[in-house]
Amino acid sequence: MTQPLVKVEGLRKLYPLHKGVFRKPTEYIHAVDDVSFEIAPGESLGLVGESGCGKTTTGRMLVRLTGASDGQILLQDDGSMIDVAHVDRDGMKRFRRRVQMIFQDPYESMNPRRTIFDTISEPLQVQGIGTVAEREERVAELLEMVGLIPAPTFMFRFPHQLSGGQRQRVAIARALVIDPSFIVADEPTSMLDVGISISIMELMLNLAEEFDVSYLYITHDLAVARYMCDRIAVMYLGKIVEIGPTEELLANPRHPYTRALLSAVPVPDPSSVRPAVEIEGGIAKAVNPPPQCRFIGRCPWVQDICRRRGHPPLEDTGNDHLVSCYVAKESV
Amino acid sequence: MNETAIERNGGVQSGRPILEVDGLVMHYRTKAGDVSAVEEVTFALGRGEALGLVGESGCGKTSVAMTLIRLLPDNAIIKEGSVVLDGLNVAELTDGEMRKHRWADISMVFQGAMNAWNPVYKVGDQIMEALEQHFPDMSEAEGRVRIAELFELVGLSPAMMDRYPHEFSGGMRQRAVIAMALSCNPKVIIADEPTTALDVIVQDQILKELRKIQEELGMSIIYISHDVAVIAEVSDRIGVMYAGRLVELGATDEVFPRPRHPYTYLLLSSTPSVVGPRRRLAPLEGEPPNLLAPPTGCRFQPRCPFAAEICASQDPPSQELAPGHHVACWHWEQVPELGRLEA
Amino acid sequence: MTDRLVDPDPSAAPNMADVVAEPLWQVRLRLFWQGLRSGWSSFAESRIGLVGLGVIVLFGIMAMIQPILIGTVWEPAIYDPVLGYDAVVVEKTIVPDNEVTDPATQIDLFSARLLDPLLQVGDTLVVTVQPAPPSRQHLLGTDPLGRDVLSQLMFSTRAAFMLGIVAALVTVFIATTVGAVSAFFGGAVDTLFMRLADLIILVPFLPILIVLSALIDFQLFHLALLIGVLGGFGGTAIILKSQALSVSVKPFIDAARIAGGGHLHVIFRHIIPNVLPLSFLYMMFSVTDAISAEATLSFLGLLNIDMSWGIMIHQAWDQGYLLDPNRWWLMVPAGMSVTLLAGSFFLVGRAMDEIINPRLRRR
Ligand SMILES: Nc1ncnc2c1ncn2[C@@H]1O[C@H](COP(=O)(O)OP(=O)(O)OP(=O)(O)O)[C@@H](O)[C@H]1O
Ligand SMILES: Nc1ncnc2c1ncn2[C@@H]1O[C@H](COP(=O)(O)OP(=O)(O)OP(=O)(O)O)[C@@H](O)[C@H]1O
Ligand SMILES: [Mg+2]
Ligand SMILES: [Mg+2]
Repeated sequence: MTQPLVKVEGLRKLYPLHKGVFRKPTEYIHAVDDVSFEIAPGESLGLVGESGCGKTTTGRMLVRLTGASDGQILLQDDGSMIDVAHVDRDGMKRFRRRVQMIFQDPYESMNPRRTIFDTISEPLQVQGIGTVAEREERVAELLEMVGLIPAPTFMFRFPHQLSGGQRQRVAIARALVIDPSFIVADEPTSMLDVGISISIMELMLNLAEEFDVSYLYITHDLAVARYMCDRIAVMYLGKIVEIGPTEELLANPRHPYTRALLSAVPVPDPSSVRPAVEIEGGIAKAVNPPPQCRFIGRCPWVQDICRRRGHPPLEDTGNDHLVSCYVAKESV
Repeated sequence: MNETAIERNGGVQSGRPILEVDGLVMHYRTKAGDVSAVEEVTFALGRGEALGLVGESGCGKTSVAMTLIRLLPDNAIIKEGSVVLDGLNVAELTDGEMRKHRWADISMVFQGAMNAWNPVYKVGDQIMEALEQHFPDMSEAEGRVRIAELFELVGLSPAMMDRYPHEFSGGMRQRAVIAMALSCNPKVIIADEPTTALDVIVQDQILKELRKIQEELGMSIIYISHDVAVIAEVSDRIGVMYAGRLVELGATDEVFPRPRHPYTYLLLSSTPSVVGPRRRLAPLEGEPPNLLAPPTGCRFQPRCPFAAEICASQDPPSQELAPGHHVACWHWEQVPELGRLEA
Repeated sequence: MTDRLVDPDPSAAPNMADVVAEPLWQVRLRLFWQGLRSGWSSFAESRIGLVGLGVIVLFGIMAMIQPILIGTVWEPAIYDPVLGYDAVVVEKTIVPDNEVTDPATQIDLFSARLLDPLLQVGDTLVVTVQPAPPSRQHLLGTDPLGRDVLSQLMFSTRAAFMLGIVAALVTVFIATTVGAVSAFFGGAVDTLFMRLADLIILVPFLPILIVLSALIDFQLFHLALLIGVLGGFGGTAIILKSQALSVSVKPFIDAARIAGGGHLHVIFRHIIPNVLPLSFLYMMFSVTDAISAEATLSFLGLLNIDMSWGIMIHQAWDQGYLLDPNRWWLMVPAGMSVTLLAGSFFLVGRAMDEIINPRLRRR
C-alpha cells in the first residue's frame, strides 16, 4: 500500500459512567477501545456495527470533535504523517481544511436561521477564504454539482424550505466546499427514503471520484456499506473485530459477529437462503469490560481458549483480511 | 364483490379470506383541499397469510392501515369501498360498534409506538390499563397472568412487566408493544414499520419472533415497511403502493424476481443488497407527487421511464397478469428484467 | 423520522437572474424583511396578541401627544403634571345642618361658617374644590393638589414605557449573553452564573429595593437598570440558558466547529440567533414585571420621582382617598393603566410564545 491518508493507532475513548464531583470515577464506558486502521487516499472505509458500538465516537475523534483518551490519529500532509492531536494553531487550521464531516440528521445539522448560502460558505467564511463574490460563485458551483439546480433558486432559501434529501445534498456541498481530502460521513442516508438515499449515495460516490476524497463511511447497514465502500471494518463494543476488502469480507466472513450481522440483514430477494447465525440479546454498554473477548457473552462458537485469554488480536488471514477471533482462526 | 375479492386472492389460501378490501378510497380534508391518501385500493388477506405493504414515505401505507382498523383522524373521510373483516363490513360500522371489534378482531402495532410508552408508569401497568378496557371483569391477578403469558410469547421475561420503559432497550420496548397488540387474541394484526428504528440484529430477532407467533396463533398479518428487503423476508405476498394507489400486488416469489410495474422495478433496482452481484444502483429520480393535486392519469407517470401519451391522460386499470398477480400499468410488458436497465 | 418530500413552494424562490445581479446585503435585507412579514402574519392570527398590541399602541399615542397638548391647547401653568395648579371654583348654596341632599351644590351651615362666620342659610358661597371631579376642563378631574389627572396619566405613560423598555432590553441583553456563555462553556463559568441566578431568585426582590432606596436616591432610570440587571442575571438567564443548552448540542454546532469556527463564531452566529426569539418573548414579560414593580415601589413611596402611575396612586392613598368611591378619578385611571399596559405586554408575549414555541403552535 502507498502511504495512507489517515492512520489510526490504538485509538481509545473512555467515558466516565458517573460524573462525580468529589470522587474520582471508577467506572468507564469503553466506547472505543484500541482501534487501529488505515485509509488510503481516495479509498472509502465502511465502519459497520450495531447501535452503541462506538462508530460515531470513532468518527468524532477523527474530526476532532471529541478528544481521544489514548492513541494516535495521523493525517498525511505533504508526504509526512502528522499527529492531529498535537498540532499548533496553524496546523489546526490546515486540519480543518482537509477534514470534514457529514451528519446523520439532515434536519438538525443545519442552523435553521441561516440561509443555504451561509451554511455552505461557512467554512470559507470562518477561515477567511476568498471574497464574498468568490464565495457566492463557489457555492453556486457546488450547488449545481450536488444537483440543486438552478443554484440561485436554492442559494437563499432556508433549510426548512428544502426536503430531507435536498438538505443532505446541501450538507455534502458544505463538506466539499473547501476541497477536503477526507470526509467522515456518519450514517448520511439512514433518515432518508430508499430512493432518495440511493441518489445521495450515488452522488457521494461520484464526487469522491471527482474530488479524490476518502470517506470513513459509518453505517449500520452492511448492504449500504457494500455499495459505498472499498473496505469494511466491523465493530463490536468498541473493538474492530474484522476488517477487509468489501467483497472478500462479505464472501468469507470469519468472525461470528460478522456472520450474524450478515445473516440478519434483510435481502430483497425471497429466494436467497443464507446460513442463519443467530445471536441472542442486544448490545450492552462496555462498562469496565473484562479482559476476554468482547463478544464472549453472545458468541455461538465460544470455546475454552476464549475464556482463558484476553481479547483476541486482529490477525491477518491473507487477502488483506484481518479478523480478531481465536476460533475463526483455528477453523481456517 | 366478495367473489371477485376471493378470486383475486389467487387461490393462495383455501377458504374465505379473513379480510377483503375492495375499492377503498379515503381522503383527508384539509384547508388546502383534499389529500387523496388512499385511492381505489383492493386486496384480500388470506387466513394465516402475511401480506407486505411497501412504498415511499407518504404514499399512504399508514392511512390504509388506519382505515382498516378505523382509527382515523376527524378530517378523514372514507369515500368509497368496503372493508370486510371475517364477513363484517367494517367501513359501515358506527364508532361504537367498531370498538367491539378493534383489538379483538383486528389489532395494530403503531408506527413509532415503541417510543410512546409513558415514562412514569410501569410497562405492565400500561398494558393492564388497556386490558381492563376490553375485559372489565378481569381481576388484577388474572391480568398479570395474561401479561406474563404475552411477555413470554414475544420473548420478554415476565419480570419485566414491573419495570419502567427507560429500563427497556429499543427492541424490548417494541416487543412490549407487540405484546399489547396481541392482548385480545386478534385474528388480524397490522404491523406498521415494526422494526424501522431498530438495529439489524434486533430487527431480525423481532421479525422472526413475529413470524413464529403468527404461525403459533394462526393469525394473519399485514406488514408495512418502506424497506422492500424487510418485506421480502417476511411476507407471502407483497403489495406495492405509490401515491395512494396499490400499483402491484402479487406473491412475493413472483414479484421480486420479475416486477411488472415500473415503480416496483425501480424500487427493487434501487435497493442495495449483500447478496448477488455487486451492481450500480439506479436511483429513482424526481419526487413523489403532491397528494393534494395528484398528476392526471397514472400517478407514477411524471417519474416513469416508460411513460407515453396514454399514461398522462388515462388512469391504468388493475390487470391480473397471472392468478393473483395484479398490476396497474399501461406498459407493463416493457418493464425489463431486473438489472437490465443499463444495458 | 423519514424524509417527507414536499417541495416547499418553489414560487417563493427568487428569480435566477435577480439573485446573480443582487448584492449580498440587499438579499439579506430582503430576507430579513420577508422574515418580519411572515412573523407578523402568524402574529396577526392571534387575537390576544392583536388586542395587546392595540392597547400598547394606544398608550404610545397617549404618551406622544401629551407634550404636544401642553404646548398647544393646555396651559402649562394649569396642566403641567407636576407643577400645574387649577383651583376649580364652585358655587354652593348654604342649607341648614343635616339637610344636605347634594354635596356638589350644597354646603351645610356649620361648614360654611368655618369659612365665614357671617353666612346665613340660603346664601351662596364660592368654594374651591381639590380634588375636583371630572369636568370639561379636566376630563379626569384634578388631584388633591389641584393638578390635572389626565395630563399626569399621559405624562406617566412615557415614564412607564421608558422604564419597561430599558429594563427589558437590559434583561434580555444580559440574560442572552449569560445563558449562551454558560451553556457553551459549561463547567466553572456555568456554575458561577447559575449560582448567582439562584441567589438572585432566592433573595426577595422588593425588600432589597426597599433597603436600597433607603440608601440611595432612586431615579426611574436607576430602577430600570436595576430591574434589568436583576432579571438578566436571575430567572431569565436560567430559562435562556436551558434554551441555549438545547441549541448547543445540535449537530449544526458541531458542523460549525468542523468548519473551523471559534468560540465567538459559534456563540454569536449559531447559539444566540437561535435563542433570540425566546429572548424577545421574555423581554415582553420583563416589561410587565418592570411596570408592576415600579407601581409597587412608588405606591410604597420609595422612589424619588416626580410623577408616575404609582405616584398617582400613592398620592391618592396618602391623602386618604384610596378607597373613596366619590373620588374614583384619583385612583381608577392610574390603576387601570398599570394593569392594562402591563397586561398588554403580557398578552403580546403570550401571542409570541405561540409563534416561537413549536410545541404550542397549532398545526
Ligand atoms: N458523550 C458521551 N458520554 C457518555 N457516553 C457516551 C457519550 N457518547 C457516546 N457514549 C457511549 O459510548 C458508546 C458508543 O456510542 P456511539 O455513539 O459511538 O455508538 P454508535 O455506534 O455511533 O451507535 P449508533 O449506531 O446508535 O449511532 C455508547 O455506549 C454510548 O452510550
Ligand atoms: N391527518 C392528516 N391530514 C391531512 N393529510 C394527512 C393526514 N395524515 C396523513 N396525511 C397525508 O396523507 C399522505 C399519506 O400519509 P401516510 O401517513 O399514510 O403515509 P405513509 O406511507 O405511512 O408514510 P410514512 O412512511 O412516512 O409513515 C401523506 O401525504 C400525508 O402527508
Ligand atoms: Mg452513531
Ligand atoms: Mg406511515
